Amino acid sequence: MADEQRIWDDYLNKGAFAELYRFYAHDLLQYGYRILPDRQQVQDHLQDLFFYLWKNREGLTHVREPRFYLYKSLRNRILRSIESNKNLQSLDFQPTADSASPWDNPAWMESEHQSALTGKLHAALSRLPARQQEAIQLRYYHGFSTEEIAQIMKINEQSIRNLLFRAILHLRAQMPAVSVTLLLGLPVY
Amino acid sequence: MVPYADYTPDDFLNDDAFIRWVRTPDEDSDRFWQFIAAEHPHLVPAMSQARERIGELAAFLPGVGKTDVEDVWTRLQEQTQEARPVRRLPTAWWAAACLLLVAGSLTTWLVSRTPAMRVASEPAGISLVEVRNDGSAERIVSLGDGSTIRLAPQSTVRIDTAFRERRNVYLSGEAFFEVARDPKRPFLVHTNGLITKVLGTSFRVTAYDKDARVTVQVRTGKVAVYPSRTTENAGLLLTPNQQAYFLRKESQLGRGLVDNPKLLPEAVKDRFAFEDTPMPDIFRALEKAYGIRIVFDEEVFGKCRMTTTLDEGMLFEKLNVICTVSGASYQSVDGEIVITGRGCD
Repeated sequence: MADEQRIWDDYLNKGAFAELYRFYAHDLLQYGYRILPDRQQVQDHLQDLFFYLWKNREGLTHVREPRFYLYKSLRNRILRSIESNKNLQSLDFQPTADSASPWDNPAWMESEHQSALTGKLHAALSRLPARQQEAIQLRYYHGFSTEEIAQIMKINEQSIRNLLFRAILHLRAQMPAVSVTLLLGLPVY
Repeated sequence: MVPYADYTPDDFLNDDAFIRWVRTPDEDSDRFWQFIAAEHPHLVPAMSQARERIGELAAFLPGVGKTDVEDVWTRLQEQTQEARPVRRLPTAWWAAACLLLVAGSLTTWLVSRTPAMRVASEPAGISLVEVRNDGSAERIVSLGDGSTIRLAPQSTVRIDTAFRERRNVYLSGEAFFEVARDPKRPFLVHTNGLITKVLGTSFRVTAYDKDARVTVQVRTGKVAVYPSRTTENAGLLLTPNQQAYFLRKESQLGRGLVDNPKLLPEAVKDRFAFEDTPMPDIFRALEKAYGIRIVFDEEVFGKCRMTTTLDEGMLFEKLNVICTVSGASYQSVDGEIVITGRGCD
């Protein structure tokens, strides 16, 4: 996208660092919080990432797709720290019923406009395995293609497709089409 | 050619182009998908269902706290400042540097300054404007929001122009701040590990790099102080004539009274002529005049009366006078004054 390229170029050529940060920080946190529940740690990693960007501007002229690069870098940093600290919760943990804990989604719980149906969908989403949740967020919120998601998450593209397919299938099983529910007046569960 | 004619809602959910259109529509994609819908009217329900579903999937988010982005930015600023000595631009350049800042829409509540000061913009665009006082007299820095900073000699203040939501300044050395009230934009002074947060007030911060401690003395209004690594809840709320000490190494925060409490600007001086006045009334008058809480036992001192004028001298001397007369004593405890004694018959 034009904006992304301009902001990246301004950072590289004019040192417009604050603008780069403001453009990406919110969504990067949104992504980081999805893969690591410890928010303080995610913030530390984001800080480290931007500190690196601030110090190494000259070394980053090769970056072609800044957005992709930033997400991948943040994920790598988070993953490295998890691996070097195995007693922390692993990314591949299988969520149990109560893994839909407070950090999971304060935003939608507070939203007044949310339909009951969306609430149910989000409840179903929060019961998906962590990797499926991550892929869904990368795809539908952050807008990455399956090819990009595959590279960010370091699995092959077919696996990502399967993973997303399973997730959608699972959600549909729990979430009959809106029109049907409305017509028959059935509860969703 | 993509077989849109046979698409189910799920197929749309898996179509990169369709997702991109729902998330970030533009003229071209609008035209394209309107065309598809016109060509295949039977797809319209599937498309609108997929659209809605994508919106719901995109709304499934951990949720970022209101101040998270700025909190990280603030820490990043501190990290980058520690990492690099600030380069100063030659005098001819700083006007241009400021212009650049304004033009770059990073603007900036810094508008005027004493010409004698050197001002630099960080070359790497970290959006800090630096004001140093290398002279031997106090320098006044006026900020565009109406606040002023009286910068002591051998002190440096850096002003962050990146965020409009907070007024962030970084101080090394000593300065007296008079902050224009703006409840929507807190004013934060960052010093060696301690943050001082105010909405509008005046106070002095002393934080020389060589010193093991930072002190914050409040003149008017209320001020919150807290260690950088924590949040406001872990800090102290200071009122006029109180001061906080922060020991950098131990990260320990304490509160006391300033050495020489000053009358609040609104205090009326002629109140200090007392004639056969009950002591509790005198205490309350002092309390009001200095903004310092005075703790005493109403019953014990209720019967003590005195006639005196207290306009000479400092608060502690006034207290000495009162206490000597009534055989009481006072102590300063946690930023308050506690008076004890046996009272009068």
